[in-house]
Amino acid sequence: MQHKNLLKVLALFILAVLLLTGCDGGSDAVNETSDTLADASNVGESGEAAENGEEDEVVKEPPSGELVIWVQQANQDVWEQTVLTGFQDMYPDVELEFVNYAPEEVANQVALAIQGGTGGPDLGVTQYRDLQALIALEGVMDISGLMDPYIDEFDPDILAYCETDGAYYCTPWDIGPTVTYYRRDIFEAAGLSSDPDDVSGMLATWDSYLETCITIKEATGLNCFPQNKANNYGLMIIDMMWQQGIGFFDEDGAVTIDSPEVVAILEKIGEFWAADVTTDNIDWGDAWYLDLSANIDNADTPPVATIVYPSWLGGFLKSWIAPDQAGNYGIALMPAWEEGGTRAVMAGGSAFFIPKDSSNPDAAWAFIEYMALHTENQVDQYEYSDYFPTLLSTYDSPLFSEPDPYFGDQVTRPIFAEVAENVPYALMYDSQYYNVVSGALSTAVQKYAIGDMTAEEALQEAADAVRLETGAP
Amino acid sequence: MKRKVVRFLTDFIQYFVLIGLSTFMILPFIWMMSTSFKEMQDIFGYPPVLIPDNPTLNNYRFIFQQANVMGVLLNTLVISIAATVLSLFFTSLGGYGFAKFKFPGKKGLFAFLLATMIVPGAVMMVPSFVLMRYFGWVDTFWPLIAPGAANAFGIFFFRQYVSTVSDELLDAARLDGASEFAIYWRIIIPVISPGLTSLGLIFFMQSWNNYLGPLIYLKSPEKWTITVAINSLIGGAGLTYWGEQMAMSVVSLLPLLIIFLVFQKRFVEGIQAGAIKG
Amino acid sequence: MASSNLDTSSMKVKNRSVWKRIKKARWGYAFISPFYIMFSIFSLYPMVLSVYLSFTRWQGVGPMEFAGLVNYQLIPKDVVFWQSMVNGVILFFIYVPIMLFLALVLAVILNSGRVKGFRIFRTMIFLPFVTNMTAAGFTFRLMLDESNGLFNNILNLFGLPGAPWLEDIWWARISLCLLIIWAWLGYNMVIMLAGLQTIPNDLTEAALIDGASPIQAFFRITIPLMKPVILFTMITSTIGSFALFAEVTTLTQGGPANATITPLVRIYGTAFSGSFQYGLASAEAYTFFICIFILTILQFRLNREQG
Repeated sequence: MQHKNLLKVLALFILAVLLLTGCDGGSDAVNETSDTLADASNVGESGEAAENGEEDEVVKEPPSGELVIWVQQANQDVWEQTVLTGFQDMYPDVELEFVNYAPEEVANQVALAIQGGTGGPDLGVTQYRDLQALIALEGVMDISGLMDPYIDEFDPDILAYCETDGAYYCTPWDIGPTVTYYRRDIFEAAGLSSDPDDVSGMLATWDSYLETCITIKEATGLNCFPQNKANNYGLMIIDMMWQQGIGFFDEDGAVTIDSPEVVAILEKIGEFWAADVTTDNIDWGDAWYLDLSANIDNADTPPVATIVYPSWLGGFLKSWIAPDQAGNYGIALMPAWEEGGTRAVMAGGSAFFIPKDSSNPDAAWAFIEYMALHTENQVDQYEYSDYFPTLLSTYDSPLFSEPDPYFGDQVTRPIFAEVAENVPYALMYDSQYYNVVSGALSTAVQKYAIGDMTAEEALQEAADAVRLETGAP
Repeated sequence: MKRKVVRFLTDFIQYFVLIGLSTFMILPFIWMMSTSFKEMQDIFGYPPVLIPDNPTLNNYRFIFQQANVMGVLLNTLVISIAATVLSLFFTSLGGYGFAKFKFPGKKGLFAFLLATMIVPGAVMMVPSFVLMRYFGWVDTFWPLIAPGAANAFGIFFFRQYVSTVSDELLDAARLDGASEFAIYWRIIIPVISPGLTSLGLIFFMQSWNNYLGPLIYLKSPEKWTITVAINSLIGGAGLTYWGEQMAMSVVSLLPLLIIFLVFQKRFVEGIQAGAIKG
Repeated sequence: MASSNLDTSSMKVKNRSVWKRIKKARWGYAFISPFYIMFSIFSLYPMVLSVYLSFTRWQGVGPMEFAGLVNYQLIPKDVVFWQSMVNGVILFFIYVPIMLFLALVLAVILNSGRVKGFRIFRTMIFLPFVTNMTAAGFTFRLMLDESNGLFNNILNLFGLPGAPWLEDIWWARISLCLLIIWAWLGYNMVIMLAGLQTIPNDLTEAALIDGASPIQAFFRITIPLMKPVILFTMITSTIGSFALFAEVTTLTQGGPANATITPLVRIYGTAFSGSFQYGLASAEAYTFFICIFILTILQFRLNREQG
């Protein structure tokens, strides 16, 4: 008799656990994806019509059901503040469910989901730097058929971030053309012109940039830009490599980061540290925000005069980092490595991708079309966020000739367009090992910055670590 | 007189050390709670305030409404209870087997078990993932529950514990015609229940606080446990939702705090038993 | 008749006891087999698979191809891995002596029976042990923020300069150790308490009567008798110091300059982010295991030699 009671209890318990854990949840999704590629390409036929904001002309069931999107909060905010309601009006049967992760985490979590064979989203947005690695895991849907009508709408260099072996796996959304943001009031206080062209001239090369920084420091006591040592993210060194066309691997696939050119770059950064014209605040920390937002007369937490960063920083400056500094900022070109060199680089930018196991690729593609392949929508998002659009057709928008009050009524957007066009090719985002190399690079910068090693030693160690993990020569 | 001075000094030093360290122990809890009631601008203010001028419930509202903290807590509870029960059941069964039965190879099997306790979890992290993937258990609760049944320390603990039960008691029961399982269920279990409680509390706590496991295996937010949910509040672009994160941290601690305060004695016993007998 | 009866009955008794023994053995196996089945699946199999994986260059997709000693040849050059091992040792030597010393001192104080509020203190000191390290790690990160954190604010209130808690290599390690000590002091104290309670009071009292100072009694009597307990806590701390994960990822993310990466964090990183090298990660894990094993044996040996 006791056995029966015991068995009953055990059975009930196991039943309860099974119900609560829903252990059949994952496998359903897998079963549904068998015909998705065929369905997805049907949606693609209506592509051109969607670009003009019209309804699908092909008679087909509109997408419906749940669409789980993994994205960072900042991006979701852009949609919500601009065109998201339009999407919901257009596709009322699609239930959007957003899940937020930190920027790097979206890709990490998707990678883990791909490796685990289950649990990923129906649609994801992540930075270009993460995409090739996800593609290499064979977990991202081939959307070449869907992308075909739109190939000419993009800069081929940027499309390359989404392409492997001739197939397309993602849709570019925004990019990060990099410029120098500078504080007009600080330049003026240092006795320098604050006119954008003049400033661009002063910052023509990293050497002349350094001289300008020293001038500002001597005149006002203010630092030039933040560049943390111990926890450095390696953004600056990557910028300076890319603008010279130096990627992470050369044409033979060999690791480049211990080459003499890169050593010279790291030492150039060292010159700024040695001249004591930088603050030691780490990007995206509270002190860093103060560097960018403080008033010129703030003695406790003084501001910095410049920062070399991509376009999307503008939107953050305007909305929550430094709204009070409206009118005090201007945009100049970033420095070149040497006289006459390229003054353009790409940093950041994100793309949409559909995981192979997505349970609603139709809705996912509809979302992508609406957000990334629709000129007016891209323009709206750009206007709100300063996320520079990838769709070439947006450059014709009247928005581009408007002055930007935040930047002292400077007409800034064409500058970004010009930068975007001038970015040289370098094997960066089109490598699946981007994050491995950038991680090793940032460690090298940190070790060099704190004086543990020479630039050569630090980069040598980093390059060897990359060779170890990737098997590259 | 000198003796009194020495006594006073020693007492003073003792209380100084005790109070000092206790303060250090409690400080993070206090700060956590304090921050959970602050708005973003108050969190990094100077001078530091314990009680903000404008306390807010927004952080708590956020975690209950937008961050689904109740669902997350429920997940954590289900996993922890299931893992603990499974663990206790399997290891007490095995402990009883080792303690009260003779069988060929017993010494060897037990020694082998002890030997494997030396292998660190790091070794098993990757292959476990491969195994769970093979079972289709990724993004389910199972990887966090099932391995608990294989807890070698539990076997060790219960073997010690059960060996204190008198053999005569068991033999008498057998002569009375009780089945072996009934003996286990009706005699052993009640006798070792203090041990079950102590070890159960520790297993429960370990499961509740587990971070690495849920990080690897739980993908969908509706399946998250509390540790992963807290981690997800590290926003993007440096936008950490500190207030909300502290609120969720407070909530994550409360159940264990209550359990600990109620079962303090058993908790401490379990830890001490594990150490002393080890 | 008596003798033949005796013979058969003694044979019957023998048969019954043999049969009982076999029957008993059957139950022994029955009781341990549920555990052993689970153990084989969830512990043994992964241990073995790990060995095999360490000889492949598998990245999680496709077939697992045997690749020989490739990974183990790479291990000596695996700078980040060895850094993580060194970090483990460094962290150990920073926090273990302090923590165990404090634990012992606290246990002695509480055990002296002269403290009012014994239970309250014990509870307060033990409380951090039940805290999950995600909550604790983020709270510490908040408090240790260089510009706005509580710790530096308090230091500033006293006119002292703040410390670069998370911005400097050694300070970051100290911060991590601060977190670990906070979390585990109570646990070690409780264990020491149990150990102290096995020492009869007469011994220390006799020494005090004989004229020894409390400090002398502490060092000459208490500590030697507490040897086994101290050894136990040292060994658990050793294992613990290499198993740090949540503490590192929430507090420092392994920085700055990889100064606080621990082996588990490294192995996780090799396998689950970046390059997804399951094979290399398994090789790292086994190398790590062997090192710990040697360290543990060394600790035992050292202890035995000191008598």
